[in-house]
Parts: sequence; structure tokens; C-alpha cells
Amino acid sequence: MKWDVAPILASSWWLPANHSEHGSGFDGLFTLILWITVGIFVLIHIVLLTSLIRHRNRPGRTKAWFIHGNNRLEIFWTIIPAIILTVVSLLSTRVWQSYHAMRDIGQPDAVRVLVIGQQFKWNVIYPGPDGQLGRYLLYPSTTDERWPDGQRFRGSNGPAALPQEKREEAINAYIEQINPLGKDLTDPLGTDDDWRNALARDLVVPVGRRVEVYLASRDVIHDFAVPLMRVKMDTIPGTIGLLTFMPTKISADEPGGAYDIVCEELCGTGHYTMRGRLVVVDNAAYERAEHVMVTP
Amino acid sequence: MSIFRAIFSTDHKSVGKGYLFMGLLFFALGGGLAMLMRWHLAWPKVTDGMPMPMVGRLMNWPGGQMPPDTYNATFSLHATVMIFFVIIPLLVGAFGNFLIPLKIGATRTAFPLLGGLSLWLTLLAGMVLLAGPFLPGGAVWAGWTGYPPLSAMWGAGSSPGMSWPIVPRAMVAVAALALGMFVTLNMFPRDGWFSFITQLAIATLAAFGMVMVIERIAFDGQSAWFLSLLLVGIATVMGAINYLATILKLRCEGMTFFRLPLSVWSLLFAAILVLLATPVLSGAMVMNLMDHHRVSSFFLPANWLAESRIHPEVTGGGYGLLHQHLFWFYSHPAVYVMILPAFGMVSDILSVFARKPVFGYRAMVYAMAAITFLGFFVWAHHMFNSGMNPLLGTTFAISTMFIAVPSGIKVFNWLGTLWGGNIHFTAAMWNAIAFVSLFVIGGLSGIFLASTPVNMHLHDTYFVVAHIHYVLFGGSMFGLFAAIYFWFPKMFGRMMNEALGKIHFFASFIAFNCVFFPMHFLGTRGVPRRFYDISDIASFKDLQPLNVFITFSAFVLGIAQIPFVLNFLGSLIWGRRATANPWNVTTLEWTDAASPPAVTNFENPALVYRGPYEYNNPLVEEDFLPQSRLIK
Repeated sequence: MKWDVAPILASSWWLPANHSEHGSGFDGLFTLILWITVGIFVLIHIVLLTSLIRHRNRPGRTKAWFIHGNNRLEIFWTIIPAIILTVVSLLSTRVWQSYHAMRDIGQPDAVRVLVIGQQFKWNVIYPGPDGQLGRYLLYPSTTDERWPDGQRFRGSNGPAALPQEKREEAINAYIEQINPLGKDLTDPLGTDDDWRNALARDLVVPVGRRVEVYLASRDVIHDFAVPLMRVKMDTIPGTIGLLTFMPTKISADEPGGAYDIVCEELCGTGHYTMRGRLVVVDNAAYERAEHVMVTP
Repeated sequence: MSIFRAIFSTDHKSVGKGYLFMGLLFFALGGGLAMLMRWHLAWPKVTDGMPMPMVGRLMNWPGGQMPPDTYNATFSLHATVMIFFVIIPLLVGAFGNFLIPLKIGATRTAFPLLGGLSLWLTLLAGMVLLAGPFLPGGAVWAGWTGYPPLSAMWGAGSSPGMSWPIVPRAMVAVAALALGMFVTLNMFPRDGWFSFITQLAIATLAAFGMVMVIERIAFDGQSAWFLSLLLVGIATVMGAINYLATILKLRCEGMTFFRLPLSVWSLLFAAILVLLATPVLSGAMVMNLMDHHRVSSFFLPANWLAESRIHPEVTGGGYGLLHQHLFWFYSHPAVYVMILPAFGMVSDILSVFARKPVFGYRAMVYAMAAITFLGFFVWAHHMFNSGMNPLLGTTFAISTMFIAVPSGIKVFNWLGTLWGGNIHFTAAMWNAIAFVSLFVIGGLSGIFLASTPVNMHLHDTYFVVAHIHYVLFGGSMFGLFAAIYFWFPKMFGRMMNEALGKIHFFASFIAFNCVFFPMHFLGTRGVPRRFYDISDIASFKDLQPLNVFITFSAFVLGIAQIPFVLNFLGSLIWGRRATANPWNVTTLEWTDAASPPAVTNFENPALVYRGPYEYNNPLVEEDFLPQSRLIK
């Protein structure tokens, strides 16, 4: 076993680089809070240590002061922290609100993408030329007369036509082979979606445009986090979340050419293997890319 | 049979000591689990050439390396054990039971049977938790927060109705028998062999029934975990009712509310928090158990796939966030349950060894009241990024910021208590001072997490791990060490060794900071918590050497507990005999009671003339003026 301090000191202990538009505000707030807390910490410890040294029991010191408190001091150290915390709260709220002002949906140049988590991979679904996403995560039930795609599967028109004991198994096979994401094939908005090779592919977005990531999950709660974009949100099964950011730098310089997408909510045995790649390209490359043009 | 009477006594001092021993045993277990985790995190790969010593071979792990599902089980159990079976039982159970009647001049608690019942039920809950890893479905996997739908899945190869193997069955049976014995011995308190055999028979029958019911409810590690939390919740509520009634009704003559020591105030507020918050947790656990058995779907949505399979028996329509709201509505107040009693005890200890009255006694009480009240309005700060409406986060961010104000008041008053004192550095005092220092760090890092934008980067990273350990280990555990060094003479009639105590303190204090302070940096970089291995991820790779350093420090921290164990066990047998009041304290448990206190606590009915912190009062020659001394 080798023991060396150098690699520890060589690693960066500070915030990672930020490549999103809103992130600088977040980092500024982090730094501000850091200075405030360091100041308070130092102040408290100066008083504490001075007191421990000056007022320690030693030969000649037999008595302590006999005081029960001081109301002026109490008011002082209630109001000062309250003022500091009010300022921090207001600044936090302001940064938070201005970040979420980005959420106004319907801005014309925004890029939409649906990300569906499953144990232990991310599915990436692009909306196609119309920029609209269809409906997903609707699975056949044992009483359905027809399979969602209208085709025959396992020699039947729908799960209900199969014998009772075979329905569940047939649906599981249908999900695995035909429609793993439960796409609603009748939804007109979704006809041009690029969803067929969604599993574990790169999430490609353009630089300098607003990205709207819609978040869903097939099974358990996952968390879509990109530390270098300063974004993070859980995916709750049964609901769709929305996360927005605007990348400010293409990812070609990064190791591997992409930013890491990390799952930061415990999602099972393979939690630590659940990673994705966020590839940020320039706008021209994005327009050329296959997934924008694709038709079903 | 008198030995059984002593073990299954309803006397509050026995119950308190029972909690103390149980909590310390669980502390050793939880610490051992932490060591396993740390070893793995430093050398996560077989190719590192550092297989887990002993445990790896014992468990027959491939390459001596902990598998990912075992890792998940380990941190889940570590957190659950430490929170529900170490800190809460030690602070509230051990010291609540032992101290409250002694400090308020009562001869017993209001409901002695309830107090004892809570102890033995906690033991049963602990055994149900520990039975989990031995069940066919394997150990708990969803963390101490147990978020569904992950927690609603079934352990591999398990299903309801499976019978248990012999080991977990025996573990639960022993605890159930103990609970049964406690009830029968105290409900039919008759002596003699015949009645003893009858009592034993009834208890055995009852234990048999309990084991059957528990087996039916818990069929894998996760359902055992839900059931365990349900039981331990019931146990803490029993305790809380007992403390509340005792403090409200059994104070001795002269003991007005504003003459109560701060430790009693803090236990009163903790009891209120437990009483109001725990039923919500119990409700959530029942809902989770029902979901687990697929008879309801409170938290499971329609179209839910588990392991890529549909579940037609799940009707759907549930919402996973509901669990989080219910869970944190309990678990945030629970953080204050775990820190308020430490606040109170540390206030007592600082005042005693600074030989100076607590600075701003009333402000301290009002601050604790404010924390108790505000504690119910901050829970969703655990959920800023959970997918709930992000703008709702603003409300909880502001309430969270403002709970720092009363916490700050407490810190400044502790400084005020020390300033101008005549400070005696005993082992108890060192731990109490460390509590103040470390709690300040834990409190300040909370401000980062309370700020919604900063939280978006730090949430679910090691920054949170650092924060909670500064509050719960640096805070609660150091507070507990202080309390144990301080009240050990009263509990057992013998002194603990000061030199060993100081070695334990300084080693723990330094190692603690080396373990947990670097975790702030891991978190700032974005390293997620509950992660089996970061050494493959390009963004975090360079931090692996820091992980090794943390692990080294963690083992030093573990070894630093050996002097404490030796001191504790050795002092029980060989410790110097304690006088009734070895620290020259003013409060009732020292002045009117022997060490250890008699069955009735006080020789004469206690009587109180003044507040609890009259140190260096110029009216008397000595530097302390007991609450019960009459001055002409």
C-alpha cells in the first residue's frame, strides 16, 4: 500500500467549472455564503479560544463572574444574524427566481428533449422536426383488446385475446421487444419523434440555446444531475419534470468529449453505473445532426 | 427470580441504563458498518489489491470485495442504526428516563410501565431490523429514507408468506420473549416459582404470536425495515408521553418551569416533537408496508415497471413524492429530537465546569421553543430538487434560514457562559466544548444547503454527508460523550478515568475532523453520496486519493473509541467510588440523591428554592449554591 499526499493536494477541491448560463449566479451565491460563514466561524472561534485560555482555571483564579445574561446582547445577536440571513434569503430567492424565469415554455428557439430513466440507463428521446414530444410510458394492460401498435403479437390482436395466465408474460415480452418506452403510437404530436434507439445514447444539445429537458422514469426515482451545468432534478415515476439550462461551451474539450450526467438519487444495485453523456455541439452541427431530421 | 425483576424493572433509572447499554451496543454495530463502507470506498476494486480483511473471507465475497447490493445495505443499515437505535435511544431514552425524575425532584416517572415498554419494544424493533439481512430477499436496499418505488420492489426471490430461516427467527423470538417477560412480570407482580413459570409460559406464548405476526408482515429486508421503523416509532411515542406527563405533573415543590434545568427543557421540547411528528412516520410506514404487500398503491403510479415487468396487481394512481413529504415531515423534526437534548445537556455541563450561570437562561428556553415550532415548517428543504414545484422551495428556504437564528442564539449564549468563567477542563467539558465548535460548522454548512440555488449543486452529494455528520456526530455524539462522562458517577456510583477520557476525546476530535471535513470538498466537486465507486468517473477520478485519506482517518476514529470502551467497562468495576456530588453541581440529582440514587431517588421529598445555575453566587462561600439549599 503506498501512501502519498501529493495526489490529494493535486486534486481540485473547489467547485468544478461551470458551463451554463445560470450557473455563474449560483456559484456567486456559493462564494458569498462561503465568505459569510467563514467570517462567522472565525469570529466564534476567536471568542471561544480566547475564553478558554483567558478564563481557564489556574492558580489564583478561584471565582467566575456571577451574571445571568444581558438582554441587550441577546437582542444584538438575534437581530444581526437575522439581518444577514434575510439578505442571504433575498439573494437566494432572486437568483432562484431569475433561473426559473427561464422556464417560460414556448420560447421559439428552445430545444426540447425527453429523458426517461430506467434501472440503470437513461433513454434520450428527441422530438423530431416539429419540436413536439408525444406521450410515453403507457403500457398495455391485461384487459386491452388491441396491442398499441395495432399489429398482431404472439398470434393475438391484444392481451385480452390471450388466455388469462399468458397475458402478463406476453405484455412483458411486448414491452421488451416492441415498445420499451410505452410510446403512445396514436398521438399525432409524437409521430416524428426519434425514440427507437433511445437507450443509453448521448444527449446532444446545441450551445447557446435554451434546453428544456423533460424528465420521466419507468421504474424508480432517479436523478438527472450535470455538475458542470449546475442542474439537478429527480425523475418521479408517474409524473414529468422540467429542467432548463443554457450551455455556454461546447463539450469537445472535455475528457471523452462530453459532460457527465450522474444519477444522484439512489436507484438500486447499479446506481453507481447509471451515467449519461451530455454532448454540447455548436448550432450548425446540431442542425445537421441526424436526430433533428429523423422521421419515423 | 429477583434477577429478572431487576432486569425487567420499571424503575426509570434501570430503564435509562438499559437504554444506555443497548444504545452503546448498537453504536458499536453502526460504527463497524461505517468501517466496512470506508474500507470499500478507499479500495473499491479487486485490482486495488486491498480485499476487505476478515469480513471479505467470512462473507465469501468474490475477491474479498464488497458487492454493490451489500454496499447499499451497509449504508442503509448504518444510518438507520445510528439514528433510530443509537442517537435517539441514547439521548432521549437513556438520559430522558434517567435524568428527568431526578432533576425535577420526582421519585418516579408518570407512567413507569410505559417507560419500560418503550425500552423493550425498541429492542424488538432493533432485532426486526437486524433480522432483515438474514431473510431470503436480502437486506434493506433503499437507504435510510426508503423512497418508493425503489423500496416497494421485492428482494430477489422473496414474496409474502415465505417462512423465515432459523437465525432471524431466533433473534426476533428472544427480543419478543423479553418484551413478553417485561409485560407479564409487571402486570402480574407475584413471587414464587409457580407464578414465575406461569409468567414465563404466558410470555412464551405471546412471543410465539409476535414472531408469527412479524414473519407474516416482513418477508424481505425492506419490509423488515419498514416494520422496524413502525415499532421503534411506537416505542419513542410511548417514551415521549411518559416524559411529557412527568415534567408537567411531577415537579417537586418549588420547581417552577423557569427553575427547570435546560436539559429538562430540551427533553420536554424533544418529547413534543416526537409526539407530534412520529405518528406521521408511523402512518407512512404502514402505507409503505401495504404497498409492499401490493394491497394498496399509495406511492406507486399507474404503468409502473419494476425490473422491466408490469404489475397488474398494482392499481396505480399513487405518487412517490407523498412518501417524501410524510417521511421528512417526521425526519426533519427528528433531527431536532437528536440535537435539542444535546443542546440542553451541553448547556448544563458548560455551566458546571465554567462555574458560572448559563448566560441568558430564558433566551435559551425561547430559542429551543422557536426551534421546536419552526422545526415543523422546514421539511421540504430535503426536497428542493425532488420534482416538487421548485418555487415552493423558496418558502422552505426562508423558513430554514430563519431556524438558524435561534440556533445562533444558543451558540452565542454558550460563548457568553464560557466568557468570564473559571473553566475546569474535564473530559466531559472537552466534549461539551467540542460540541459547540463542531455544531457551529454543521450549522453553517446548513446555510449553503438552505439556499435553493446552491442546494441544486450540493444536494445528494458528500457535502450533505459532511453536514449531517457534523450535526449528528460532531453535535449529538460529542454531546452524548460529554453526558456519559458527566453522569456516569450518578448512574453507576463510580468515576470514569479522566486520563483515558481525554485521550479518547482528543483522538476522536482530530480524527473526526479529518474524516468529515474533506467530505465538504468531495461534495463541492459534485461527488454523489451512496455511490459504490467513483474511481471510474472522469470528473471525480482525481479525488480517489482523498477518499483513501478519509478512510485512514475513519479507522483512526474507530480505534479512538477503544479507550472509551475500556474506560466505560473498566470504570463499572474498578472505578473510584463517587461521592454524591463529585462535580459540585447545583441541580437536584446531585445534591439530594446518593450515587447511585436509591429506589426512591431522594431520602426526603425534594424542595427547590431557586434556579438551576447558581454558580459563584456571592451569597455563599463555596462557588455553587444548590437548588435545594435554604439560606436564612
